[in-house]
Amino acid sequence: MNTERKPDLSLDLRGEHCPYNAIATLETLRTMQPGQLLEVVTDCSQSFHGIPEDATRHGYHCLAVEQHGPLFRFLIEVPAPDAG
Amino acid sequence: MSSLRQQFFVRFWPPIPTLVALGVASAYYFALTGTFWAVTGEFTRWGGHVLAWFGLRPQEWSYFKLLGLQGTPLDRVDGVMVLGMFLGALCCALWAGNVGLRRPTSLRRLMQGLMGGIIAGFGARLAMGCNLAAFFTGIPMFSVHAWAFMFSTVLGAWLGVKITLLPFLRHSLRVQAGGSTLPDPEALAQRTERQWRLGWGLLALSLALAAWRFEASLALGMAFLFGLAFGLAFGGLIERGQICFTSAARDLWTTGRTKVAYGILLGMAAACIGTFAAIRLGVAPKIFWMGPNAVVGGVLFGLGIVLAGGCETGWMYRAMEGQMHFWVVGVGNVIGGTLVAAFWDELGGALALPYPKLNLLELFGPVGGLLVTYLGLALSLALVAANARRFSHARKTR
Repeated sequence: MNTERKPDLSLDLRGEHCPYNAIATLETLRTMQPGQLLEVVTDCSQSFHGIPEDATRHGYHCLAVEQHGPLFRFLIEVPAPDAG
Repeated sequence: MSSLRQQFFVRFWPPIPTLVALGVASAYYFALTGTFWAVTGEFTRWGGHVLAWFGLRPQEWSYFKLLGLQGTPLDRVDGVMVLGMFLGALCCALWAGNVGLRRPTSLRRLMQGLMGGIIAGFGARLAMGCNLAAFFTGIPMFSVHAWAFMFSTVLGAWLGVKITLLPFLRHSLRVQAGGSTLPDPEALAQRTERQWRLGWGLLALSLALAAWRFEASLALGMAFLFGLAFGLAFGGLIERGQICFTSAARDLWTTGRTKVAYGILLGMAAACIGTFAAIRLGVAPKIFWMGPNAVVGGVLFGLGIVLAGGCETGWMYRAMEGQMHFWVVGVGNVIGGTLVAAFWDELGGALALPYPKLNLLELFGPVGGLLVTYLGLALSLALVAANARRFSHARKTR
């Protein structure tokens, strides 16, 4: 659990609600390089299912979904070119 | 025990099985109470109570004669059920350690929530129900207006998305390099434990409340007990399943999300056979006018829920989690519903009352009506799947 990679970028979406969470996540991912890792932190429970589903559908790898009380943390990787 | 707790009380349930379970539960609710699972009618009555405090006489308005405005929420099946939903959602959010005050990001966003709530509440009451009565539990009543409402809601959601993503409603992204600091695990564990116990305490209190109503009168007690049990079940299903009807309609246009839309359609399919059985045994279905009110109401509702970020059931559990934005959305809903009540003579007279109440089971016969409903649901599933294909392009990597 604690051996995980350090994310390259962190997106803080606390206080925001749907659909801004999913949209902002996808927008941020679009600016990132292959192989990079994005951390997303929200306090909106609805993103628990939504962000992983959207990230996967758009071709990213959702590596972790965690709940820390009222906070939710996601780790999403931009796939390396040869992976896809 | 701790893995059981993790599995059922902390992790969110997958949406598709949860929605099917809700569909089945809503059919039982209809068979047992003779009314369908609905919330906005009760919200509108709250607006009526508030107006009565200010010396108005809403009980003489035709819309409240239609809805009934007797007693207090504690004396009504709907009122008790809504209270149960709030309590159930709060219990479940506490068990998961998921209650915490979430502050809104800006005043502008809060105003957006209020406006969205008013528009959604207005649209819902114009069409005689929200995503429940005019949709999730309306289609299994075989009322044609629910179909019109469902498709109009999806259309309204498209408009809502256009407005919601306008630059003046976007915040700049807060991005930083590296990871963020998370709450201290030890303090978090204590807090979670506290909420876990609080959740059980609240459940005990809710049951005591049920017993107290039971003593008032047998009929009321039964209604309360059933209401609370269903409310807790529904509240629980909704909070743990994170059922978001707004997401189902909106994300057809934004990201192509499908899970909740499939779940809703399959949930209705599961409900239909149950309500069909109850109707065959003599329970009167709730059928409403198939007039422009269903279409206009649906479009406004779809627009409003996307703008607000949540629908009538959505704000209820989000409010219980401590998302302050949705307290405001709830107030907006009550205002919107009450506006319909205030102008019902003009609105209903023009858009609803002159139109027929169409029942699929009468139009096509019992078997035909059931068949048409299932065909419609299958077609809707196919449309959702086809729509999702617009989005599921593998990321261009070369």
